[in-house]
This record gives sequence, C-alpha cells and structure tokens, in this order.
Amino acid sequence: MPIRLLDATVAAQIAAGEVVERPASVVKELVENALDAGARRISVEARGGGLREIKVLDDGCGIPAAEVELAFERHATSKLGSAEDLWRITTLGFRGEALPSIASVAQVICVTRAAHEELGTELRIAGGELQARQPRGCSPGTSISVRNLFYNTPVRREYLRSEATELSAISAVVQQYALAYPEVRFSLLLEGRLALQTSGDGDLRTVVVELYGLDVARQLLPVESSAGEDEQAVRVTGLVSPPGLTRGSRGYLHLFVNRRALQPRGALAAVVEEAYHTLLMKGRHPLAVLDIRVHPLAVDVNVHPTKSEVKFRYAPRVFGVVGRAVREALVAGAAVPTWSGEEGALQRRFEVRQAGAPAPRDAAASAWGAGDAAWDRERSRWDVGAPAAPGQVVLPREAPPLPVAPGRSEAAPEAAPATSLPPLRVVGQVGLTYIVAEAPEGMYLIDQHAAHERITYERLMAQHARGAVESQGMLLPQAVPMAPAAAALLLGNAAQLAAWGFALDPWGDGVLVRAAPVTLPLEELPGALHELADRLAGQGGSTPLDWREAVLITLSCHTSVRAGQPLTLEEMRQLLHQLEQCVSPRTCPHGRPTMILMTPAQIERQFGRRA
Amino acid sequence: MKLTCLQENLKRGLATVSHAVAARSTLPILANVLLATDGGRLKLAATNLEIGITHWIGAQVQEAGAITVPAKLLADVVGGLPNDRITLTLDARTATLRVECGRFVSNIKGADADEFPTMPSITDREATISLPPDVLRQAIEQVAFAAATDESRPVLTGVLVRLREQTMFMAAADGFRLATRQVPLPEAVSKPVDFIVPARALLELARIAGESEGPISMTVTPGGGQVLFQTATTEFVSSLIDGRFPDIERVIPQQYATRVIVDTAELAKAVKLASYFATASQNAIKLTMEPGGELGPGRLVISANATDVGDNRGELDCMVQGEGGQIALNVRFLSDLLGVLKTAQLAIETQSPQSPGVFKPVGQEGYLHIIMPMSIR
Repeated sequence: MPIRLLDATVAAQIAAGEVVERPASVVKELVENALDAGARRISVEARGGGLREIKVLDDGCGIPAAEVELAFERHATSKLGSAEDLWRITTLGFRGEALPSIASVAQVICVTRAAHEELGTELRIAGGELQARQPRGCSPGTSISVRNLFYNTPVRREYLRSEATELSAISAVVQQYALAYPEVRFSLLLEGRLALQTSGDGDLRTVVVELYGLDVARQLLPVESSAGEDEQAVRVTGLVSPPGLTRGSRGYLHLFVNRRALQPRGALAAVVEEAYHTLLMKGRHPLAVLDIRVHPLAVDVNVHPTKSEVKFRYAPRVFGVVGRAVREALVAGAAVPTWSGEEGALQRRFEVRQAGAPAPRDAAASAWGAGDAAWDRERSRWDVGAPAAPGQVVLPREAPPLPVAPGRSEAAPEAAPATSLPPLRVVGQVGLTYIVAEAPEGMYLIDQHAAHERITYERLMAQHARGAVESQGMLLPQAVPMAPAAAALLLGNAAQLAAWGFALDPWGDGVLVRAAPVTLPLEELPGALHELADRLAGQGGSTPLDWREAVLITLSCHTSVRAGQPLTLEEMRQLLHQLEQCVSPRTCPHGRPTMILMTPAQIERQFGRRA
Repeated sequence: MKLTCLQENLKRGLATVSHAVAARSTLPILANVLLATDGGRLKLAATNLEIGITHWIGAQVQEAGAITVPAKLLADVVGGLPNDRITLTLDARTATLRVECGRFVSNIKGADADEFPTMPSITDREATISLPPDVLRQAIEQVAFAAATDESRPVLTGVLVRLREQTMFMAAADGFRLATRQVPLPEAVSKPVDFIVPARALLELARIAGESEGPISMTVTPGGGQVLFQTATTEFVSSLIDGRFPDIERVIPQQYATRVIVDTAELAKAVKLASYFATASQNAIKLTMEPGGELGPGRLVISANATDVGDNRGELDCMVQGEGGQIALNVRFLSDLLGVLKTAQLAIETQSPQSPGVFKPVGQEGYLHIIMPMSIR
C-alpha cells in the first residue's frame, strides 16, 4: 500500500479520538471555551445521554463573524500566540483541537455574536464539513449545539455506556467547573430537567450547598494559605471536610490547579489525605474542594490531551503548602461532629430543591438563611425555644458578598480554641457504651472506649517519650499461643518491644510473656500481642515511626475501657476530665470521633418545637 | 406456716443471708429469701447458685410451712419495724406472708418454696476439718485479696486450699503476686484434699466467721463440686472452681541476697505518702535498701516519682542483712499487703531488681507474700 497523507477529516477524526472520548468530554471542551471567553453564565443541556444533543450556551465574548470558520480549523486558537506563551497559560484551552475534533464526529450548530458586532452568525458543520452559514440575530455570546455525536464513528458509539452513565459523567464535569468557578452561574439541564443551578455569587460554599446539601456545606472548614513569591508562589484556597465527615471514595475530592480540574489521584490527592493522618478511618476519604494557584510557569498542564493531570516544577514545595494548609484547617476547626439526623437532612435538602427550582437566586439565599440562623444558634446559646430574631431568617437580598461571611468571622474566634473541650456535665451512661453529657452548646454523646483510647494513647506517647513505660514482671510467665510467623516477628523485635515494657521468650507454639506494660490488663495480653503482630506484619519495611504508631494504637486500644462496661458517675467524670487534658480530644487514635454533639436546635426540631 | 420471733433476730438473720441473694439474675426466685420452719427454729436461706447461706434463728412455731419472699423487701420491712415480737403468718392459698409487729401489719406476696433451689447441707455428712473462726478468718483475709479479679484465667480467681495431715495450706495468685498461708490443724485429715474456692466466696465466709464464736467445720461434697462450712447457726456452701492451680512452689525463691526487717506501721505510713505520687506514674514505688555501717542502722528509702506531679522520698531505719539493693513495686500491691499484716515487724527479702520481692511477717509463722517487681529506670 502506498504511503499517503491522510485527508483532513480522517486526521481530525483520529485526533478526536483523543480529545472526544464520550459526551462528557464534549461538555468539558465547550465549557472550557465558554469560561475562557469570560462567560458569567453558562447553561449546559444534554439529551439522549448527550448523544442526541449537547448544547452549551454562554454570555462570553463571542466569536467575530470573520473568524467563525477559522475556529473550526485544526490548531486554530485565540489563546496562544507563540511557543513561549505555552509556558504561561492562563486559559483552560490552548491546543486548538477541541472544536475541529468535535465537529469531525458530530453535527454542530454554532450561533455566536461578538459583543461589538450587530449581527451574529450561524454555522452548521457536519463530519468536519461546512454545511451552511448564515447571519442571524442573537444575544452576545456563543451557543454551540452538538447533535448526533459519533454518528460517523459507529464503533465509538458502540463503546459508550448507558445514557444514565454518560449523563452522570456530564454532570460530574459541570460540577467540577461549578466548584472551580463559583462566580460563574452554571445551570445544567439533563433530559430537560434542571439538575444543577448555582448562583454565581462567588462563594464556594453556596456551590457546595447546591451539590452536597446544606448539612455538608456548613460543616466544611475553610482552607486558605499561601507561600512563596513569583514563580514559586503557591496559594491554596477552598473547603475541606472535618474528620467526621467522610466518603467511601475519592470522588468527592475536587482538586484544581489554576482552576483546572484534576483527577483525584496521584501525589496531590495523597498529600491531602495524608493531612488527615490518624483522623480518618480506613477506606474513608475526605470531601474537599481545593484550588491551588501556582505561577503559570511553574506548572505544565500539557501532559495529557484532556489536561486532567499536571506536572509541577516545584512539586515538593506545592505539596508541602497544600498539606500544611489542610492540616491547619483541620486543627483550627477541630470541632465536635454534629449529630445529623438523616431524615431531617433529607427533608431540608428537599425543601431547598423545591424552592430552588423556580427562582434559583432566592433558593440559594433562603437555603443560607435557614442555615445561618440554625448555625449561629447552635454555636452560641442553649436556650430552648428562643424565637428567631427577625432579620436573621430573611437575609438582606442585596448583601451580595456571601451571607455566610459575617457568621463565619464571628465564629472564628470561637473556633480557634475549639480543640479544647467545653465544660461537660455528666448526665449518665447509655447502652453501657456512651456517656451522655451536657455543655453550653448542647448534648454530647461520648464513646467511652474511643475517649479512653485517646487518653491512653497520649499518655503512653508521653511515657514512651520519657522512656518510662513501666513494665510489670509476671509471677507466672504467661504463654500466648500464636502462629510461628507472628511469634517470630515479635521475638525478632524483642529489643524494641522491651522499650514498651514487654519481655518475651520463645515458647512452643507462641511466646512466653515474662513482663508486660503495667497498664495492660492481663486478660488483654493475648489480644494485644496478636494485634501487634498483625500490625507489624502488615507494614513490611516499617519505619521506626510506623512501629511506634502500631504499638501505641494497639496498647491504647487494649488498655482502655471497653464498650459494654458499666461506669460509675465518678468514673465518667474522671474520664471526661482526662479527655479535656488531651491535645486532640475529639478523635480516637483510629480516627473515629470520640464525641458527637446534638444541638438544642436539632433536639427542638425533632420535638417539633422549631420548624 | 405461723410463727413468732424477735425482730432483732430476724433482722440480723436476714442481713446474714442477704449476701447470697442474687441482685440481678435471670432467675427471679434467686432474689428471694426462703423462710421455712425447722423444728423449733426458723430457717432463712438465700443463694445465687455460686454461694448459698442458710441461717437459723429461734422462733415459736405454731404451724409448719415454707415460703419465699423478695429478700430486699422483707429486710426493709423488718428493719423498719420496732424491736418487738414479730408474727409471721402464711396464707398458703395466695402465697402471701403476713408480717405483724406491734400495730404494724404488712402483707408480702411471695413465691412457692418448692421453686427455690435445694442446697446441700453438712448435717448429714462428717466434717473433714474443724477450725477456730478467727484463725480461718485471718487466713482468708491474708490470702484471698491476692486472687485475680479478671476472668482470663478462672483458676486464679480462686484460692487454693490444700489439706495435708495436720496442716491447711492456702494460696492465691493473680499473675503478679502470690499469698500463701499455712494453718496447723487440731487433728490430722484422713486423706489429702485439694480444691479451689472462689476468693469472693471465701471473703463472704470470713465475714460469717467474724460473727461466729464456735468452731467452723468444713467438708467437701463427694463429687468435689462444692465445699460446705458450718457454724452453730449458719451454713455456708460454695461451688468450687474446676481446674489445676499453677505450680506455685516453683516461684518461691529459696534464698535471698538482702534481707530487711522494718517496722510494719512505719512502712505503711511511708508507702501511703509515696502512693500519692506513685499513682500518677503507673503505680511504681521504689524501695532502696542500704546496709548500715559501723555507726548506725541500715536504711530503707521509699520513693516515688511522677513527671507531671512531683516526687516523694521517705527514709526508715531498719536492719539490713546482705549487700543492699533496689526493687520497684506496684504500690497497690504493697498497700494491699500492708493492710492485712498484723505483726509489728516485716521482713523483706530480695535478690535482684528483676527477681521477686518476698515478704514475711516477723513473728507469724506460715505466711509468705511475693510481689513481682516492676522495671527500674
């Protein structure tokens, strides 16, 4: 077969294979174009799983009539002038591939008018071929409608998943940009239904309310940190979930670099999760929205055609700033997780949606209104049935800068010493597991085991640091049967274990304990040794720090009061008193919360004293 | 059933058996006390299936019969009555006990006596041994506290009782300490017997022994499942713990490097002082033994040190034989021991900081206590 140049359409179709994988990629490219065009409102519509039609409408700068055709040529872009520009990209797109790629695999109708022109243009392209062009009256901005996507590439069409899957992918894309651009008003219509509507008021938290509901949004902790100058400048802003609020996947980790969405994997995601060290349960992931701004020169976004990965020039530095920022936010906001009644939350969410459909702007405001009122009262007083102050529920409409801000800033000084506990009055014990206590801000339920675990963890850590974990000799050395591998592991580390108060000897089918830490009750000894062996086995080349952590967690777990153990009032008081002395009293070493709060507002709502 | 007795006697009798009443049990009848006429006496009995106590008080019985009534209610009612004659009348048809005293009348609903578990009695058996009550009580008090309170090794929650010829040997250990006591018996036992009694049960027995004057006889049921103790007016039965007691002779050191003889009361005071600091540092208390020179007696230094709280140091004059040394102990174990010692002086024997501390009261033969050391830093 003779070698020949591919004709333009085939070349474009091949390129389209990279850029346009599925309907969601079309949405992504078009939304990016709209954002680069400076749009303040972007409306996305999808029908038939995005295959029948995708329509993206914006109020951006539009394309001048003379340039419309050029926009659909390959490697045509307004965003890049020279190769040097590639190193200081501030726009989302720049490759000049999106429009021609899409146009080569679909029927595209582009209606656009630049703000300074009187008349707009309508362009119809199918399979990369110009079909029609005519002047048309329209409002400034661009509307691109992509119909019958992949009509000429049946194989690609064959490989698409169900319509619902494609729609959810589209929705995910729009969500990402809504989070990255809170100042842009996004609306998403899926099969004619309004799926998402953001207010575009510039506050990230209001976007989160729309996506994840009021309950989640108001728990998120603000992150803000910056470091360095010029090319090394790194700035992190956003919201992260407190340790008590987690999700089963990383799908709720929204990371942006210079407002460009990244896949929540790789080093950056790991850095964020690492910041939650000992605060997260295994298999749980935080919910976070983080925008990382770096100098355009310090990041290479040209790694992948869909730009979902980036390379940092000063990666360790960026990761350091991000990790520290998240950790600081967590420590500063280490509040007690609030008890959230599932039903109530759902109901409220429903109400927001209902009200939100007709008048989106009001919806956002009213959602906040309710949230703000409840929020403040929850933090401040424990006075049951106080009538809501007028003006608190209805927010001044034209206070555009974030209705939340005043509430937040007032709460800030309160939040600062939030690591220390409020004065708790013990009421009693329920289920032989939880201590009920009362404080100015409401009713606390405290997990006695988790709380005691935290106390012993910190005490043991202090003792070990002083080299003073006391060891008690055994009158009758106790044999603990265990698997040969586990026994060998423990005996092989006998010297290190001795620092923790263990004296072990080999014995038939296990180990013989000659001495154990004083605080470890005898009946817990076999369990503790087994767990210790398991933990150590799980971390092959463990560092001394891992080692310490493993021993600490095991010992603190086994020396703590168990759930199901009755406690006297005095014992509970002592427990809470000791918990107050802890550095981070609100989570146990495994990352579970030690206490949850039921605010008066929640209790009142349950009793119907409050709407 | 109809009878008359003195309020004072009934009150004391109910108090005696109340310790065997099961406070929380899935068997409601165990919260009751059994009242039954027995010749010219009224028999009171209670059991929680682990121990059982039967007590007899004098009564004028007009009509025989038996009933069980809630123990706490009856004790409360009787306790609130004047010190006078009480008439108990049972209405068998409604199982209601009528309690009359002076001008007070109470009717207490009960349950049929047949539902009450039968308890073995010593009366139809020959006693194995017989002991003065104060000797038994002291032996129990000096040994039983060393038994384990956790259930990880059930055998250690009991006290080993070993009868050989003319001695009774008792031992209890909880993994960190050991208490043993030998008591000479007035008569030799016919055959050697070993059994393990729950320490909790023995402490109840010690209480009963404290109230009794005549000798206490003891026997083990033929099946070996229970042990019975009997005084003139009370019978006590306890189930036994099945199992083999660890070989304790092995852990008793046969020699020492340092021996200290110290005043028990003074040591108790010094330990009490140090304990305020020791409790904040995992209960560790340090004993330093310094032999005396030409000029003065030896010294025992008791010290405790808690990083966050502070420290304490006390010195006692004592007789030190040997080279001296140091040992760290759990202050709780030491206080427990000092609380049960009756002699004026105490001997402490040690070998090294890692080997057990041996405690022997001076002037009381047959008692030995061992405490395992803590690590010294």
